[in-house]
Amino acid sequence: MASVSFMLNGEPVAIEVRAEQTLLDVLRNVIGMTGTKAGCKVGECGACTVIVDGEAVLSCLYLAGKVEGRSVETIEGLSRDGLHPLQAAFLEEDAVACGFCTPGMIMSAKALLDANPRPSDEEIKVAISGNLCRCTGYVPIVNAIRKVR
Amino acid sequence: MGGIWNRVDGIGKVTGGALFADDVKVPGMLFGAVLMGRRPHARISRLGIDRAKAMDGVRAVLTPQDVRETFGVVVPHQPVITATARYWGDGIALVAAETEEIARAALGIIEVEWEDLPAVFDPEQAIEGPPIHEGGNVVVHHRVRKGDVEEGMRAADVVVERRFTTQRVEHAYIEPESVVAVPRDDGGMEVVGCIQNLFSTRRSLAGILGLDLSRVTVRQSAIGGSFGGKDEVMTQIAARAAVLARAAGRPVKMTYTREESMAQSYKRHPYVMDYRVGARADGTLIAIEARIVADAGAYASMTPFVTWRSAVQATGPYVCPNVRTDVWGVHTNNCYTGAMRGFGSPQVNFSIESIIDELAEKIGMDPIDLRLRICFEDGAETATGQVLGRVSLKEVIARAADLSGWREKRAAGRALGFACSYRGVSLGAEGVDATGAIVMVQPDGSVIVATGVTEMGQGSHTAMAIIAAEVLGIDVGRVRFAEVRTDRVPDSGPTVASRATCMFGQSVKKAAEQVKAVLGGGDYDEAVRAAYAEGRPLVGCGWHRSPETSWHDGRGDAYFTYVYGANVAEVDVDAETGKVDVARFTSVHDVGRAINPAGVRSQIYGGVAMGIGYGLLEEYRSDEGVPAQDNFDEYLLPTSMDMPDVRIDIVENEDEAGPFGAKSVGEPATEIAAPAIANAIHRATGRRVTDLPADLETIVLGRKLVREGPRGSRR
Amino acid sequence: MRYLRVTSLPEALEAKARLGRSGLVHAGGTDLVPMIRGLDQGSTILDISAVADLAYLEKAGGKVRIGPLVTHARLAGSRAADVLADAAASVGSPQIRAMGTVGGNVCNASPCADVVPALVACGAVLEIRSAAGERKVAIEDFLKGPYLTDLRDDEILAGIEMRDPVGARTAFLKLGRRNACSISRMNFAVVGWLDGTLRDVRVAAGSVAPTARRFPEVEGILEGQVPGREVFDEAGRAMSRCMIAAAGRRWSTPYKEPVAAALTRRVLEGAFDG
Repeated sequence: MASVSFMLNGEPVAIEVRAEQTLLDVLRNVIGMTGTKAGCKVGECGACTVIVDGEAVLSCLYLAGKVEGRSVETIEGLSRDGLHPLQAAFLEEDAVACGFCTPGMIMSAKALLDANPRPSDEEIKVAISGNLCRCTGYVPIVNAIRKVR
Repeated sequence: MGGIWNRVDGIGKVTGGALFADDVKVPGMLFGAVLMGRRPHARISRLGIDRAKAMDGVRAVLTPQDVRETFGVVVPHQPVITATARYWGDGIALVAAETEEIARAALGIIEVEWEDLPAVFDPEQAIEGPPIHEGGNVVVHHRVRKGDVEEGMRAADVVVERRFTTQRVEHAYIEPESVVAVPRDDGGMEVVGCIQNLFSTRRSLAGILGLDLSRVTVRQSAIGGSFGGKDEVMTQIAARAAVLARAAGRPVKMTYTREESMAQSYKRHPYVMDYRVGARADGTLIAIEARIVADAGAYASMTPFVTWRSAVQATGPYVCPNVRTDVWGVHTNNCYTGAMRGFGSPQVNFSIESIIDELAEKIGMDPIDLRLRICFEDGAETATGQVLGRVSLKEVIARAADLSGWREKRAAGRALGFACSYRGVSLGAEGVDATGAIVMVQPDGSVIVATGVTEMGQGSHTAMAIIAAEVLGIDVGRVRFAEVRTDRVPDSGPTVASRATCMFGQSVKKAAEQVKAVLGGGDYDEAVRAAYAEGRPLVGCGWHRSPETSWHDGRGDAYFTYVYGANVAEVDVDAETGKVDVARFTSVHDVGRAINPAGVRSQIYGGVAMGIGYGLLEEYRSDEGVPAQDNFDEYLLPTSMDMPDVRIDIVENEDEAGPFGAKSVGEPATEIAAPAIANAIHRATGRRVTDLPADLETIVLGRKLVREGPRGSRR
Repeated sequence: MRYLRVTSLPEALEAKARLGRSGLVHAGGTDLVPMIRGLDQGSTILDISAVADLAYLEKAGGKVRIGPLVTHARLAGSRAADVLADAAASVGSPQIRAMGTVGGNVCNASPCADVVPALVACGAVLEIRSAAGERKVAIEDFLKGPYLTDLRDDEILAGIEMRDPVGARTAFLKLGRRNACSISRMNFAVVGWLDGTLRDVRVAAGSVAPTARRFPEVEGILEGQVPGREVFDEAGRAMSRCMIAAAGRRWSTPYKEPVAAALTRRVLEGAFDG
């Protein structure tokens, strides 16, 4: 076991983790925040996407020990003071169907808009190209993100 | 109604607060896991569980000796776990332990010795092959007969003959299967999970556990996609968790890894289809023959119903006096196959829409002009002898042609392809088709709607809320959809066949109308207060039976109503590499009436994506019964970068069979995308796509390339 | 497993010397983590992701120097060399690019790696270090086979150096089955010079042979020629021949043979506007 300290949605966290434990596992099962989803655990579906130090990453491939000293944002951190504009836009544009890809999708979109507030449509599609959606065909999701830029 | 409505279940999904099955935590919960056989056909000769049982943290180990029960809505022969593995993913032992890690480690030390059995993987060979179940491998044979096909063929000026094949497809819902089983103090069992068909799961569970239906409660968590795929596989995982929970005396959660999900869960049936079409020189059809073999895999699942729909719809929405259709569902030792969005229609639509396209080419006619000449109109007679009422197909086709720029673009040299379909709504003559709903108006005027329709992302709960709100004349924000659980809502059959709006919506409407009648006219809130003050009940219980259908020996009124759709695909084909990009896609559907237009559009976009996957990318392949892929690195879904520019139009051809005229869209949205793309590829390359998916190798070589070994970067 | 996080290169080298094969060097994790359950559970995960000295990206004195911890995202957005940036931009998904490193791409040595062929075409030389010293290896000599490199148990890849291809004509081309998150079906990188005729053209390909490598026979056809369809077609045919010689005739050859030729022609056209 190793000790890891990091910032989680703006709050400091210190926990014990096993070497092979992923950030996804730690979020869902150690800290108990289930907003981040497990779809494949091999980094192919994007459902586990969170933001670490401003970049969208796959928490299923992110070993927990590596998060030491870093800043992590998850979907739960977005609605502290009411809905984040992305969350509202996803609802308005019917970009939420089954909802399973939604947290990861929103985090990828947030990482994009934080770095690039006025992305082109192409940049939006690239930003979510690592997030699989089986329900909506991506069109409403791109519409929602475009609405917020 | 018909406006823009937020989903009733939306907030939790954007905040991460919505509870999917794997998010559920129950005090004292154990983790359950299943050991897969990993043999296509073999019998266990020795199973050594002592070491696993003795492992620290293991609370229960169950073998096929302990769990002998089987289930199955149509053929109840599918085991919970089995001593005879009939496909690679068949489960053979169960473990419950304090943590997932321990449970999986315990699986790793279970010792198994096998006696291999003769296996068969080709469904055509399997017809006479070594039997996988008693009674042989033919699960079902459906036939449709009309007129005299041989005479028709003799009278034809042109005959086109083709063999088509389609592939095994994985539902690929992003949420893997997951349940939590909680034994109750009264000896009953409660299961919460991402279960599509709560009542059939409950029925199977009750049988397996030996409990009254009233003592088994099945609850739906938020479902992360299903597409028809969370039926038997969920019943099975629920049964596994339940028997473990009973053995350990504690709640048990079971969640499959993606690899377990892909290896175990049923797939879309691959079909081999031999079609022959005879027509006059002007394109009028005289005879169609379709001979279809469906690979049912190891267990029957929904094969009899899937293949029945195929039989009914095999010859497409075309007038034809002579029809002979035979569809066989045959067991093999491949992964079992069952319900998947479309339910036997994508396969036959691929064939009929491709061969009609070829006929158009042969007689020198524009493919859309040919459809307009030969397709159903009001009062047309189908292949099964049913006389249709109002048929909007020509309007749908014309709109698709317009919206896609069909004529102008083809004249300019762009590669466009067309496909259209008709689809029977709901279950048809498959079985009893009825739903029930309860609408309860509260003293403050807010409303609770309870019905057994499951929300899998298709917006069913929102649609029901809209219907209730419309009847009562209130804002949809005042309507809440009750948690779907078998002890609180009426058994209304499964949420399948795109029947949610059409069937469940009707019973919700009726229930709401009952309450409306009690309320009388005037201001809603005043009427509610008055009713409560006077002790008048504001509970409505609506029951809706579908209109009559009939089926006898290959003929009948198969479905009580139909929807019509047309798709146009515009593609760019890189002939040197075989890469196909769908540049633009046009999708026009007669949905009756759009209760929630935004929801309908999302369904259509999603359906197009699924159709692109079906046409170009997706194939669940196995070699001698051993799956060649186990995760999304090699089973390829379309990404955001693979989606075309999509244009949608909805034709509202209100049908009295549905609430406010609404019919359905879920499955129509995906069932003709692939043939539209295949026909566009033909336009681009001059070559017919007869085998799906039309992957890189197929386009370049004109034939399927049989791969050996896994592709990609796997070690 | 044990987890050991180091923050300096000497620390990393000392740990690797001590752990040897049981020290699993971990930076991005995109190749390591999916495999982790299948590895020896007595191993130590040696996390070098915080070693700032390995994250440099410099262009000076006619050279480009890339630290192994440079991520694909950073390389894709950099002005280091277009051919490298294009290759890095084609890797996986945005998330994979944010996590995965160039060093990881090289040391994992997948035959389908995307950045590796671009480095091969650039003539990259690898700096390998251990607690005992350092050595330099040309990247083609470092790649021994699928997922096999010359890296010894006590060594860590510490740097990648190449001549700055300023003034060169370059191109990178990747064929995948879909438009994002694709494993390369085939990929090609070209770096060469054009002054009236083609000079010193390096043609590298991945996913066509056991390792990414240059193809001297192809390059030989191009040397001294005026760019044009005919010579690029001939080069393409040579690529197919070399591919079959290197990898043998396999189930995929009926497809790969014509396609490798066509894509070789295409990447050459891309580099030389041929």
